[in-house]
Amino acid sequence: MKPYLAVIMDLFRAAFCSRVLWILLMMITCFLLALAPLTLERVPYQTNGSPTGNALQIRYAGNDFGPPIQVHGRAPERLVSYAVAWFLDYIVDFMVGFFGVFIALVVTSPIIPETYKKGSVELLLSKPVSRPLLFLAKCAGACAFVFLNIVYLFVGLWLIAGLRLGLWDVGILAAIPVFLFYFLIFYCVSALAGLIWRNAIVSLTLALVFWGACIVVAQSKTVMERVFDTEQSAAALERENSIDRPGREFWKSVYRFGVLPLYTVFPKPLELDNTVQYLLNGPQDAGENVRLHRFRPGAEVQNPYSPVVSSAIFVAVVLGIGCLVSYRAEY
Amino acid sequence: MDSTFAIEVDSLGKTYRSTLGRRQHEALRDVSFNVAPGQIFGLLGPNGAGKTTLLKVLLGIIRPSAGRGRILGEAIGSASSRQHVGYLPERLRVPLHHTADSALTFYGRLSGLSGRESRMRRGELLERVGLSAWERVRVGKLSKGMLQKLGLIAALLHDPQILILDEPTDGLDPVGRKQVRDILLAAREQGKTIFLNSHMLLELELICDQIAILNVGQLRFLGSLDAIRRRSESARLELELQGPETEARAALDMYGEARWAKLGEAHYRVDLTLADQLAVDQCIDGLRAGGISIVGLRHHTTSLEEAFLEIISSEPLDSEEKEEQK
Repeated sequence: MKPYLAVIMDLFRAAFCSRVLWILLMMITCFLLALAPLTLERVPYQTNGSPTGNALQIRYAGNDFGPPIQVHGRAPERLVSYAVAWFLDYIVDFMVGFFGVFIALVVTSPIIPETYKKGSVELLLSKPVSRPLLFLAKCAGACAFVFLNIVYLFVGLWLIAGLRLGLWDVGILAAIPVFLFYFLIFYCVSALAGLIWRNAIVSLTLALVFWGACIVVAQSKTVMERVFDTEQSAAALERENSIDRPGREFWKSVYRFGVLPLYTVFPKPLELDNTVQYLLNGPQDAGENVRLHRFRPGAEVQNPYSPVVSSAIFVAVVLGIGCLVSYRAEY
Repeated sequence: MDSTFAIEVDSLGKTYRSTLGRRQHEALRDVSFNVAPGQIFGLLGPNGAGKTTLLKVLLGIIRPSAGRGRILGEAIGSASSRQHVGYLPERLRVPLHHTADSALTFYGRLSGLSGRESRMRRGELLERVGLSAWERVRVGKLSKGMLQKLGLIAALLHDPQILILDEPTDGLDPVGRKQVRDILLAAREQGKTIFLNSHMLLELELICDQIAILNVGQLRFLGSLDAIRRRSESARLELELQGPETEARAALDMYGEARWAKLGEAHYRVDLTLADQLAVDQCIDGLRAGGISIVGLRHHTTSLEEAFLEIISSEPLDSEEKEEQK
């Protein structure tokens, strides 16, 4: 394992020396400092001057940030859960989940192309190392680098949520492996592209295009299923009245032979969030668990582990192809 | 195959194919040779001859399309065969975040050395090539020659049995070349086998025990430098003769093909190549005996470089010649 550990350590050395790590840590620190003045206070909700319920007031550096958020029919203790849901949804999911993964991909996409560039790869391959393990060690190094950054980010977020908002929620920390897995799904595509084309821009572009494709496929499936469900009743009526709507069969074919197979094969990053919530809260229904509102439309948890399993299979297949390509490639 | 050789290559071939397989380029064809342990073996050839391809095949960086090879009895390309090899690539590119020191630790670890082991070994090697003062300097600030020396140390660090060096003196000044030569000669003293790839004949002449000359992917010569020197000792004669042409031709017939140019009535200039001085004497005796006047005689000797050029333009070795030269 010594050579492969050396490869991973070398990646960190490169990150320290190129200042990428320092810049990232500084960005995360700025982000956390920017969030630190945020507070969430429980206030009575008033209608026509008289209190009618509970509400949450978001304050930033002592100033009100928008109107109070009314929480109908919730017991005060439920407010905390509601606040956590809000915090996770808007801060963790969107800002960190989207921008974080994007930045992580930008930073790590040159790793594989740089490794396999002419002049440096020959010396590496002349050493008694296995090519597939060298490729996997590079991927592991990229993940370790991202892990280091997100641990700092999420522990910081967790402390801010706890100390400033009073929301001590393990869900924030649980986001660390989810974020890493989310990153890995797209990084494996970037790594494979980097291995084949040895170009950081191509590698990053393909990962981002694939990310977009995953979202488009998942959303298309959801929308199509809804439309078909709605149409089912209408279709019966149309059949009765002998009205033929052109194009319906075409879209059903697109769904059956295009969208559905792609959705099955592609990883399901959007649904991973649901799995985490399921693991954290158990199989509660929407009436019981206020956080269930975070489930995306059309992504009901039928099998909570299926997004993880199908995404893990995808990652394993792509990394397997990467190992095969690296084994067979000639430099 | 006999495993008493450090490197064995048997009918090795490499054909590059385009992605769709429509275009092919035969980089190596039927290359066979053996390198005995403790030898410095020089691989010579013009640019594009297939030298680097051959080295990469030996290291398993690319796979042969035909034939096979062994390094210390292990199949080429296997991790166990690479364990015994130190390699210096032609265009070494050390990642810029490294200092000389950290690069050696990294490459040492890849070869299975611990940090302590590589620290112990690299000090002496850096000293020998005059890089000790630069060990904490980023590789980006090292000159091409220094980088080349660093690559050589990286190849030597894990004390390999075989050194495969691609243009090791490229970019070095005369002092640097001498240092590299001394290191290689010292390595040979220690019983290491050195496989040297270069297009600089004079560089190889100074240290190599055996030489292979490759051109257009085929072996054109395999043998000792003495054999090339013997070729270079052959003489090219330019004779200006006067006398009957039939007698002159009869006298020169036995010395192979000659180029004739008519200068006047019964006056000729003849160019011919003779093996050695004895043949020159015999040729002149023959002409004189035939009643031919030798009006002028110019004697050109072939330089080592001319001999090399002659070899690369010659036909590839046939199997009998290969066996004989092996």
